Amino acid sequence: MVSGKRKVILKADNISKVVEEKGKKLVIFDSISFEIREKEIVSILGPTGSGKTSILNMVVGLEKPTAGEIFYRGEPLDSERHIVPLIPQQPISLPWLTVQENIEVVLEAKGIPLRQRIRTALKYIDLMGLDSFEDTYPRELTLAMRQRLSFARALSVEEELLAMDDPFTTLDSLTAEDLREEFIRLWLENQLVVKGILLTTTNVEEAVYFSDRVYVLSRRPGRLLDIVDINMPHPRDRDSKEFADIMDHIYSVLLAL
Amino acid sequence: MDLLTAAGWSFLRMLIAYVLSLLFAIPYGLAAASSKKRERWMIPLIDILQSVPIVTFFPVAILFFVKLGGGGRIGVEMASIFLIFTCQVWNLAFSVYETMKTFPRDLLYLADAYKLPPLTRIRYFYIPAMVPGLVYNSMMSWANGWYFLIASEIFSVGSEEYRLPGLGTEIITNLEKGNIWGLVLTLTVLIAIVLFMQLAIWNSLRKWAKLFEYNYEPIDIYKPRFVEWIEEISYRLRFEQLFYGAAYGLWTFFRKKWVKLIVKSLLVILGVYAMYGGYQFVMWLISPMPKGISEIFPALGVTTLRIFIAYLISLVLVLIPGYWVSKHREKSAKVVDIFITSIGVLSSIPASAFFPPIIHIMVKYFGSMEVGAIFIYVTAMVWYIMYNVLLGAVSIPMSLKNLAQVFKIRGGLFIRTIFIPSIFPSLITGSITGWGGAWNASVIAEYMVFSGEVLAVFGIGSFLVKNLTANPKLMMWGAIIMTVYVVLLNRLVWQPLYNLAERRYRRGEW
Repeated sequence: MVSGKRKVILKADNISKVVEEKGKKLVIFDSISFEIREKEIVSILGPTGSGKTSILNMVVGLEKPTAGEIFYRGEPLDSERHIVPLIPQQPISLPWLTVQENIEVVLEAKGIPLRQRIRTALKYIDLMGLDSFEDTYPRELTLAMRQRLSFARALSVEEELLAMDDPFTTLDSLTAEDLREEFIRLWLENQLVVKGILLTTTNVEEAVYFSDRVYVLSRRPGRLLDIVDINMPHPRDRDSKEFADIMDHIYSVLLAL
Repeated sequence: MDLLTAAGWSFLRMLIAYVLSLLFAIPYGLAAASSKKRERWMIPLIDILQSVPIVTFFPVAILFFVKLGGGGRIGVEMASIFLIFTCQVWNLAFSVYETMKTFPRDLLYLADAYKLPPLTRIRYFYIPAMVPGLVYNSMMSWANGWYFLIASEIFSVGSEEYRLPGLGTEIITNLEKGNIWGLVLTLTVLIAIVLFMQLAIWNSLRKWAKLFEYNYEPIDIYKPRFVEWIEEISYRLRFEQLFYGAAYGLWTFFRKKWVKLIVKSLLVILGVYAMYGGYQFVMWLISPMPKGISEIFPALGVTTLRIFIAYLISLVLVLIPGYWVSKHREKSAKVVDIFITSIGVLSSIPASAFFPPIIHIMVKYFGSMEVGAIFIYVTAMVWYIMYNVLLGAVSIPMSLKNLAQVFKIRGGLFIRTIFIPSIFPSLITGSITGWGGAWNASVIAEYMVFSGEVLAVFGIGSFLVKNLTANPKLMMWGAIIMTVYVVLLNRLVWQPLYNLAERRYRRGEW
């Protein structure tokens, strides 16, 4: 496979999550391994409750696996040092800061000097179609625009890896489609610094549309059901037979249980 | 034992005053919030009453109630309960008013859509919505009542001194005799009561109150046992039907035309009588003008400066634990619980009980009462600020904390962009109550008696206490000017800051 030669950015090795709830042990997900290589979009696809968000939280450093380990460029992931920007499901921003300031904050946290902060912020505001909203407060934006702000902020830190937690579900289907197409275009045109993307989704079509590889998870406790490599060229034609075949395959895996 | 009897008396007085406060605060707040016309005079009125230090009520209250009770014990008891009532009621009324003003619009829409009658709305919409605010403010009211315990059990007018059996009197008796062990024992009983109430009542009520917050965040639904008992008893006694039946009866009664007419004419008579009383009061005030009014203004200035210093100290004391709470993502709720329990206890200790010995040592050490006074001001205001800031800090949404963690927003940047803006509104609310507490405490912070020795510093508080018996007319002038000053300060400084906080919290100019 082509992807085999690309360098691994992030690798999860047999990670599990067990929580204790009212004295009972509850397995969220069990022994999951996956990897993201350069130039790859990787999806974790599974029904609600399969532990997708929990896995993503571990990648971005909000949670720790109860077993197994995650490696970032070969070394153990350090939540204090490695930045993996996250685009959350619901748009989150600081309501007392403008669009531009919301982006500048994360750049300042990274220690980038003021002038460059402004330049970078404006660049990604432009890229995500937020121009002329620089001085607007998030409260005055629509949900879709606030999600665009989340995208701009996560991309602006220009890290190698980007984590997206089902970021399109909150939008109506037409708006979601626009944002999907815009984003994949930016990715394919190499306009982004980001080298690898990890996406979680409950939407089979979305996973097939975006991904180079799909990890299919079962219901709770989340277990790896299948790994599906997709080598179709972008932009992908949803009406093609190949696309339909892959979707059929994934559905059959998900519904077999 | 004498001490337990004393504790019983103090508790009983507090309880009666508290029930009266609730019975007053709920209709008052409802009435003020439900009509623009009423709002315009009812809210400034309690704003003024809240700013008047408790000693000013003494002469009027005692005169009135002692006469009402025929000069006996009952009259004195009523006066005492009234004084406690004045410590407890205002913030409760404000809380009800605030709840009504911020009542969720979509719920209101629901009530309108189903054309619910007023009493049903009060029963199922307004009263439940008031619970969180009332629980918090009840805790504060009780603490405030205990804080002024001594002032409400021992009072003198002219040559006559009234002492009621109670913990406050015990404390003073022990202090006068210099009986340190007696004092410690009395304080222990007091703290035990406060701690018991904090753990058994307020903490469980706070947990229960979460059910009445208008959001759908998952919580452990919890109902304290005693709430169930109260419900059971009121169910057996058909208390609720009686209450709402009576309320409904009154409602329809007062809407009848002829009743309205009678009420209006009674109000007119009362107004004329009040105007006559007011006229006499003003005449008494100005003829002849007492000497020494010019002393009031520098006294106010000095006191303001002292409270300001105490405020700065309080801010430092508050922001450190607040920052800690905002940084910790998990354990913080438990720590805040412990903090709030301690705040409840510490804020209940009557300053004039615990502190004379400490102040005595401070005076010896620093050579003046100045440091001691500032110390007492800190104890009068820091708890309000801390309580509000901690609740503000603990309620910073997890999503914002996660954002900070993902993008490594830390240190000064975190404080500037997340911590301060998040807690700003609650910091302002806490500051407003804190300053109010400090003004009220001025009469004990600046004037103290310990084993026969008077410890005092120049300021409005000591001015009021000194003139309370020596020159009541001058005291009245002091109280009036102070009230005007405090109300102005609230209007010109705190109200704009509060508005700014609301606006900035919404959008911010950071």
